[in-house]
Amino acid sequence: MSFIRLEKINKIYPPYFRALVNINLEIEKGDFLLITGPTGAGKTTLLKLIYREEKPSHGEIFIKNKPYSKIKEKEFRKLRQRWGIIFQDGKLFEDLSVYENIKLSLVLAEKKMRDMKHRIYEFLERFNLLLKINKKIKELSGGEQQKVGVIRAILKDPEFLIADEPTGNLDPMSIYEIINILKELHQKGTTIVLATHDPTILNLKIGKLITLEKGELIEGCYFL
Amino acid sequence: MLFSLAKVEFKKTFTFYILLFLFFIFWNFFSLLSFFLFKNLENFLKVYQEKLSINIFISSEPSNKTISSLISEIQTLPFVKKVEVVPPLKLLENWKKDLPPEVFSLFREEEILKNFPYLIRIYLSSPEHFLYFQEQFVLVSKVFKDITYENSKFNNILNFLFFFKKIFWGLALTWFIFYLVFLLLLNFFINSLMNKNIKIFILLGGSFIRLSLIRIILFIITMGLSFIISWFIYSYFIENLLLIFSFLKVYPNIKDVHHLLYFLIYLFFIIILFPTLIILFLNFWMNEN
Repeated sequence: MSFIRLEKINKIYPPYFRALVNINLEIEKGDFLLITGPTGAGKTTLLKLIYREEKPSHGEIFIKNKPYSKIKEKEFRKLRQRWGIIFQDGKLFEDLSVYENIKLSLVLAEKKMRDMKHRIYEFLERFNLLLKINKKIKELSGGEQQKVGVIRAILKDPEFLIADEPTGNLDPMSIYEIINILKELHQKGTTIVLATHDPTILNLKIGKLITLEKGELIEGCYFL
Repeated sequence: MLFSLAKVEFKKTFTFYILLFLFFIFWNFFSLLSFFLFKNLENFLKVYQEKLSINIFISSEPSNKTISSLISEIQTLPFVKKVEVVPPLKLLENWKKDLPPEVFSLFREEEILKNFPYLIRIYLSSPEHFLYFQEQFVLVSKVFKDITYENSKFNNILNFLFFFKKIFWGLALTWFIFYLVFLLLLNFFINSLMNKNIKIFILLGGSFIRLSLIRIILFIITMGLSFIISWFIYSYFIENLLLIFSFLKVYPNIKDVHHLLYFLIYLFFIIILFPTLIILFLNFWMNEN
């Protein structure tokens, strides 16, 4: 039984822009799926459909064989609490501090803050953000905001991690750090779907790679 | 943690909360004032209604038998509480002051009395039954001759009473709808302004109930403060009004347990229940539906 299955997915934005065309895809539990393709190929749209920020125009997405259309918002909320999502545009609360942003995500995931506090400090240290722990997000650079988004997602120890261009604005050291963390998570059994065109990640040759082009899925390849 | 988000919402939508604060001072003040006026007017009408009678004049000199049969006929009519007969002599005594002095210089008292009618005062159990009584009385008046029926004062007050009651409840309903629409629009604008944060909150697994909780707390605090101020303004206003019109009664009189109870229910509905329902409904409709 696949973890996530996409069946004949089409996404059309009005008036008639076909962002995704007839996508069929299966993600198994514990998979590490890399999605690549040029800008505007539909990578972000595909991820948005998976974490249900948007709904497909045609087709159906299944999670453990249950169609998304049959899952109520309340039920999906529980899933999102267990998932980690790294958004391309950060999606951070600009007026809250670094610590508050991370804490809020953990509180919503029903994690006990007593156990999490030292881990937050540890991760902020790894990403050179400890000194900026009380800074508001809007006072940080784009790269620093990106790092906060990554920390927020991985600290939840998610069973499923969706990452959209997580290394977009980052320096090589931080990219290396993120790759290490992703590997750790994958080894722990986390299912990862990562959209990127960062050669550093693609050259790692881990997991399964698929390419999107003009909304269509080009035949994938396995590295494992 | 929700406190941080509430802080952000309050900062970003400060103007809307100021608007809510000012609106509720104005709305609550006029709600209390109109209730005060309505209750006092109702009291006034209730007292006045006790003194209201339907007056019937019998101009020709009737026999005692005619009067007693007329009274017994009237008493059989529904809603008649009391019937009072005023003979011409007593009527003249009552009206002496109002008659022009020339009348007494031209006519002797016996002559005046001859032309003076018998007055029959009819008191109804409630002025609301007046119209029904009038219909029934038409049949009775056909049997008895020389009956003059005076009802203008009664009719006018009655009409005013009914009209005012209808208008008051209509206005009260419009006033309440105004409050609901204001809260709904305000929430809608706040949601639009906080759209980005709301979306992040939902994508992180937050529920619309948790989201609403932040707003509910902010609304209750703002409206609570607003209420305190409007209550002070109202009390000050009423205190001064009572110095001029001392016959007026204070509504709501919070020293009275019943008044206090109703007042607390009003506060619960206006400051807590309705805002909560509106916020929950709008957040559910915008984010969960």
